[in-house]
Amino acid sequence: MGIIIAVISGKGGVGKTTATANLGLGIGMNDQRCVVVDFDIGQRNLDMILGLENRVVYDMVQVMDGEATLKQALIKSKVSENLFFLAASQSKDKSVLNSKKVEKLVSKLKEDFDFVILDSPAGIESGFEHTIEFADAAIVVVNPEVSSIRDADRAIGILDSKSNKVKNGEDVAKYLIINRIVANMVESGEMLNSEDILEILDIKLLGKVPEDRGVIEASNRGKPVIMDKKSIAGQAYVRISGRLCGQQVDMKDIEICDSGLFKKIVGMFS
Amino acid sequence: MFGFSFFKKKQSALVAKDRLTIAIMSDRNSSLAYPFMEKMKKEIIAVVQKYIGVRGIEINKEVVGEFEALSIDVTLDK
Repeated sequence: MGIIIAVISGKGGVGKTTATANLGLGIGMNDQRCVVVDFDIGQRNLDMILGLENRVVYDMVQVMDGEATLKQALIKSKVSENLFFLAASQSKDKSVLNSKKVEKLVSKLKEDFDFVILDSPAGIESGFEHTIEFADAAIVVVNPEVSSIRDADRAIGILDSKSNKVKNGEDVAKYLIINRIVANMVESGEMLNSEDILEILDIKLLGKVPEDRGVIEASNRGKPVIMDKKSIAGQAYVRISGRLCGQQVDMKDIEICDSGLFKKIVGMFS
Repeated sequence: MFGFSFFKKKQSALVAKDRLTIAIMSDRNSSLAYPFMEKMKKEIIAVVQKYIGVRGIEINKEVVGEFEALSIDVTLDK
């Protein structure tokens, strides 16, 4: 029996889909079976990030409606034996989802996979609520920037009141990924640091991802950045995936510029 | 160098933290209230006051699982 994780953000464009794709591959690298599901009905994007857009034949709405079997609709990743992908419907609108259908689909996936990762749509409307409804845990993605953080707090508030686990009196685990950190801006006080963000949102940290031009390059090619061993964002996703799979991976401080011997020495003592 | 930084304006990350803390606090409070709360407060005071003196009233919305509850505390005069 696997775990269902919803990837949420509130605000759009913070890197939710990129995080989903990279974590999916990262989990696969750890020899765990993972399926990533695009819940952004009408604005399908995870297929592009994974480089699988040409392989989509059936989507998850067709599976829910019994027009296709799960086996027909699941697309295997080109690079990982352990990663599968289920596409969002591009033609229909978000109102096609309903709780019963979603529950049936995700509980079936939970039987077959160790990790079921749901890529939530931006905003806090129905599509978002369906993503969090049956989740065991949520990963909140933010950028160190005011509008993203404020919207994330709203999304967390809804998670805390609408998820089924909470309704049953349990806690829904939630973790934060801070994406697009620019070290020298944090150092000079021009960008919020991770401690402040965690304090404001009152949430545990899962990982920090530095700003990296390689992310766009990776999406251009449909090869998630985690595959690029030299990429600093890719390395961050390797660490985060390891943590998700239960490894003890130290939090690397990417908020310090590692240029200059002096700073390195200071870093050793701090 | 140091003299210059002394006169520099407040770091923007600090400004962001202050603004966010306040904005999020008010966002959270507003979701824990109904829009009619203030009006209802006045009406309850009016009803209770027909029978006994009222010093103050406090109404809180509480969310427990899928149930929402209102807790109403009326403080009486003496």
